[in-house]
Amino acid sequence: MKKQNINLMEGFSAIEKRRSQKSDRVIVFMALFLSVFLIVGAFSFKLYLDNSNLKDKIKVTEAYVNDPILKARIAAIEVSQAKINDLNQIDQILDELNASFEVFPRINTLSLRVITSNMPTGTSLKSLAFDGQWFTIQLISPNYSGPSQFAVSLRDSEFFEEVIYQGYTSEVVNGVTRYVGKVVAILKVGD
Amino acid sequence: MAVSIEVRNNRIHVVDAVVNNNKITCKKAFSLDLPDGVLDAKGIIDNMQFARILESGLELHHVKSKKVTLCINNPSIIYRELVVPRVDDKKLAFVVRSEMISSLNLTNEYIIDFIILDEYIDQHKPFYRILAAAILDSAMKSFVDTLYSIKLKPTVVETSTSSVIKYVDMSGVVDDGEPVIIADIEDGTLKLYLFEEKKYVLTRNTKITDYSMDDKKTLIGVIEDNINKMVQFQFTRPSHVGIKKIFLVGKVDFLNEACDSINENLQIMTSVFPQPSFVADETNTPHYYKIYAAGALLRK
Repeated sequence: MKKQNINLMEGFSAIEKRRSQKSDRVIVFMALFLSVFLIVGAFSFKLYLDNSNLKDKIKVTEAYVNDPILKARIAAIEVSQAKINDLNQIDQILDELNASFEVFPRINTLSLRVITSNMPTGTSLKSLAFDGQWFTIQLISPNYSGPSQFAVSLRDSEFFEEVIYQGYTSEVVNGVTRYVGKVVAILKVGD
Repeated sequence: MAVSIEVRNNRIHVVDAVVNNNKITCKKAFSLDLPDGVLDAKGIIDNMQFARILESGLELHHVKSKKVTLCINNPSIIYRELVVPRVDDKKLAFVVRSEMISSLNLTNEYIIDFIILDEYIDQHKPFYRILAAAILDSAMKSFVDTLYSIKLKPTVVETSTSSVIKYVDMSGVVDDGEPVIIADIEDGTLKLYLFEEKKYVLTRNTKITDYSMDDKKTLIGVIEDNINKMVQFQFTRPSHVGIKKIFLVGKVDFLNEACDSINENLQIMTSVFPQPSFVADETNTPHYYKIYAAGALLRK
């Protein structure tokens, strides 16, 4: 059928519809953008508040830390703490000393008895010295094997930590040859 | 009830009518003058004032209808006669749009519609003669938005030329096939529509000085001169048949004087446009300045 009517409104309505759809899309994008903006804004605001709170707390803490009374107390505590540390060190040293004293070898009658009881027959004690650790024993024997027997016997007693035989010398006294032997022994720690 | 609003340069014609099978019964009709600067070729400039004038006019005349047929009769519409090959109806709109954009160097911002004036065969190929009309989207929006602002709903937006074509065609004044001129005198503009063999041929618009009582005769002389040019043009057309009748329309008070003068000077039968049978006018106002508004109400 031949077109005999003009209606510009139809074309305009079609354009308006497209414009409206475009506008709808723009609104959706705007809403999306606004939502993102609001979320980011809210999150930023929360961070801002948190930051403000933390800054306030820092200020309070700084004020507390910088309080002159507190500083004086801390200084006093530090001095006391240093003194306590010194005392603790002294205490520790004393404890160590006590422990050392506990294990330090001590001369007693038992050790003297062990020495004398292991002397072979006919030998006599010439000298006995103790320097805090080592016994130095000199004995006189009528024969040359006496000192070494003494050293072996003393070692076998296992009373001492170590027994070292240092040999013998001979001497003539009143026409009689006698042998002077030298043995050093160290006490066991803790005995 | 349907309201038809014809928007001219400086005036609005409103017709409130009942339309039934293209029989129009005019119930109310009135005109509203628009001050300068309210509208121009780019549409309505001062939409507040336009809306206020129209709304108060509708209220004053108790027009209740909200559905509006708008007839734009001002330079915001661009017309072009096109000859295009006969193509499928669906493709025709695209072809016309392309031709309009190409021939008038328009942008895509124009709304374009058309009517088929004639169909003919040239060298065994069928062609359509088309009258296309274009309006800038923003101009159209200014009209539509202004009507919406006063709660009127435009359903049809017609052009003045297509309205005249329908009105003249249905009125039967060109049924004898003789060349006829319809002269519209209003708004300081003379619009001459030429019809021949029951078909619209062309329109010619001329600016004429605004009418005042002192130079009425001069003005009628100017109108005669322009009509005479159209008469001479008709002789150059293939039929070589001269204009047989001239019908005058328009809201001026010298229409009858102009008729007499043209009758006398051009020796062509001239009269005001007769009231057609399909129009019943109950408004006691001259029907001949309502032809655009009434024509816009006709749908073929």
